[in-house]
Amino acid sequence: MVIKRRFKKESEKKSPRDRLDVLLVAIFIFAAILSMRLIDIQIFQHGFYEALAANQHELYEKLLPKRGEILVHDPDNAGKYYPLATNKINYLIYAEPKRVTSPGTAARELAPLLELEEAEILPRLEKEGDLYEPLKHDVPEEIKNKISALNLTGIKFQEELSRYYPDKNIGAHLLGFVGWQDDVRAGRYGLEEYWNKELAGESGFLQAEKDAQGRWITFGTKLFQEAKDGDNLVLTIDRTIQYEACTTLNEAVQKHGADGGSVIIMDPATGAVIAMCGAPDFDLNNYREVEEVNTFINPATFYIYEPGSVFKPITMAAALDQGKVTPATTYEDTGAEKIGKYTIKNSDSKTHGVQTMTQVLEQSLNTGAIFVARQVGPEIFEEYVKKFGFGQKYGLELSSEAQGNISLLAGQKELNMATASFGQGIAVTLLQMTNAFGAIANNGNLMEPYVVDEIQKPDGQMIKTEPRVIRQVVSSKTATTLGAMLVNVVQNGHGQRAGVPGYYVAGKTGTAQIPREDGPGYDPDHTIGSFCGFAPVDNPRFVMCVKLDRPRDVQWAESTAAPIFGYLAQFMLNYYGVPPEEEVK
Amino acid sequence: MTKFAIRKFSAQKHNNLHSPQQRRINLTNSGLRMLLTGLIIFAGLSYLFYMNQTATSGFDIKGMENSIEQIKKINKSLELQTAELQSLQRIEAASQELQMVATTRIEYLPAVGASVAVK
Repeated sequence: MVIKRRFKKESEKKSPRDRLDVLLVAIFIFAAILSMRLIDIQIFQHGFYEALAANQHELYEKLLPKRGEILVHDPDNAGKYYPLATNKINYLIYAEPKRVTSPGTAARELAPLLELEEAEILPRLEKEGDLYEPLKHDVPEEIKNKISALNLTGIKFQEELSRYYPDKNIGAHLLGFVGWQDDVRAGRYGLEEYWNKELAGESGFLQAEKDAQGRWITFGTKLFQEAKDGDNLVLTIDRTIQYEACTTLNEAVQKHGADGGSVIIMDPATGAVIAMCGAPDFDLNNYREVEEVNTFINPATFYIYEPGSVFKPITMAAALDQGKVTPATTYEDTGAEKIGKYTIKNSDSKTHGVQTMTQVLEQSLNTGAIFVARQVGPEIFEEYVKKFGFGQKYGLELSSEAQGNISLLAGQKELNMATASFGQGIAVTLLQMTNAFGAIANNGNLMEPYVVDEIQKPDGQMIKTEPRVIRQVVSSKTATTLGAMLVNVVQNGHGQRAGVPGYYVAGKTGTAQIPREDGPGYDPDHTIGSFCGFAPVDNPRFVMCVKLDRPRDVQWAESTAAPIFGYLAQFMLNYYGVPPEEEVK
Repeated sequence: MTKFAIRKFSAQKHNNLHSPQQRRINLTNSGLRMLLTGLIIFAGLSYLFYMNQTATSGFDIKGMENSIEQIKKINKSLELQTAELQSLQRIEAASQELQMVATTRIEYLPAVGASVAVK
């Protein structure tokens, strides 16, 4: 009560000046706290906030999408993946020429680190009034650190994501690479090109209204859309098999002095591509070092060739399916067949006498293939060739796929049918050949080949590829019968080196002639050796085609492609843990 | 409220009355002013404190976001190292260095049937 009264008296005495003093004190306290906080932020915590402010590239990170990765399943860890193509943080080294104090010294010191000529760098650093001059993309961190240690004024760097392929050259043709196209990174060749839109994602944007002088209007409309990262692709490829197939192919190409080669391995039950290799290949991380641009093209899907005798099982399938022949059907081989003015001989130029259909395949008799084709006639023969998928693209998710050429059969002339019956006069891709053998292995069902197993969206959504049957080409009985005949080829015929002890392997060799480039006829010096087959015959785990272009040391496929097939077949049967079907002697 | 206080004060001036009732009104008027000043100062300080807290929290969040980014980058770098170490070229080179020998023959044991004799 006493205090209240005193307060009452004091407040009664207060003049406007007193009240102003109170206000001043309040403002002073307010300003003092504010100043102390500013001193704390700007002086004592200067380093921290400077680091935060320096992190301006975050905006660019939000505007630039991250390219999706290309992955494969890790067979040892379910649900885990291994990257075949991923992103690595590298650096863009750039100059602000306006700030470069000594262009000569800077160019001299940068040249060896950036692996550029001094004369190439110097003019860029000497550009007067220039504010930005990129010097080199994709510079690794260790080089960037060395440049940073030089403390060159006006030389700056910025983080950027570069494409990186941990397996280097393995599966190079399948994957393709990311290169520059009109100053924009874009997928080139293979999966990187075909799936570029999905992998690249969508760039974000920052939209703001500007005044007449081009300045942003503070209270104008602003729109900010963050970038949408690209999808991840999970492939059907088994990287262990892929590695073994690619290294074996490369060694064989080198050993035989061949121009190149290809291998495709698929799961016949689904059409999933397990491995796809081409030779010569290249290191995807250093694709710029490749001089010959054709090296980038996938030979397994793009190059067409006359398949030769490896095509004979297709002819046999047509006749078996039509009920025109059985494995025991015989014909008399006179060593040559005369059609019009043309005479077609066996590859060994021998006469074999009476032969069964199984022996036609075992001995790879051209006259026998003509006999078989004649049983069905040109029209039905063409129909079966088409049904097996020749002369059309599968639409495999790769940038380069050829459709082949079977136009010769359209005229339905006997001569054309006769040459096509043993694989001449028509052109196919190795993919078509592999998938056709896949149909024989898969009870006559032609599957749609695919290489992308899953698409993983950035929001967690997943799109899974389901195997698809294109059509039933031949009956299950025909496929089984033909499979058994092809086992005989490996056990008794030209394909013995493709065999694996203890297993029933079905397959067929093909030594194809190469059409001359300078006129009609075939190149007498060069051939293409191929082998297609599958194993084990009663429950095939894989179907594989191997092709070797122009081997120099040996002529026949049984010495080039067949041994590669045999080695890889044994590797895969062990890898898959398939027990032998018969005791190994 | 203020208008009311002023009106009361004006009435008091005009009438020049000094009754206890009038003194009470006068006292309330001064106290109110003090209270208002105090409230303004309190509100100001509270606002300053709140803004400071918000700014600090903002910077903390930013700092944590940066840490997440850094950790993500380190994680990515480690993933790359793992991929490089798991690459089959490196494994094959290491196996040669260690003089490991490839398996040439695999023997499969026959599967034991469901019924087996215990003795």
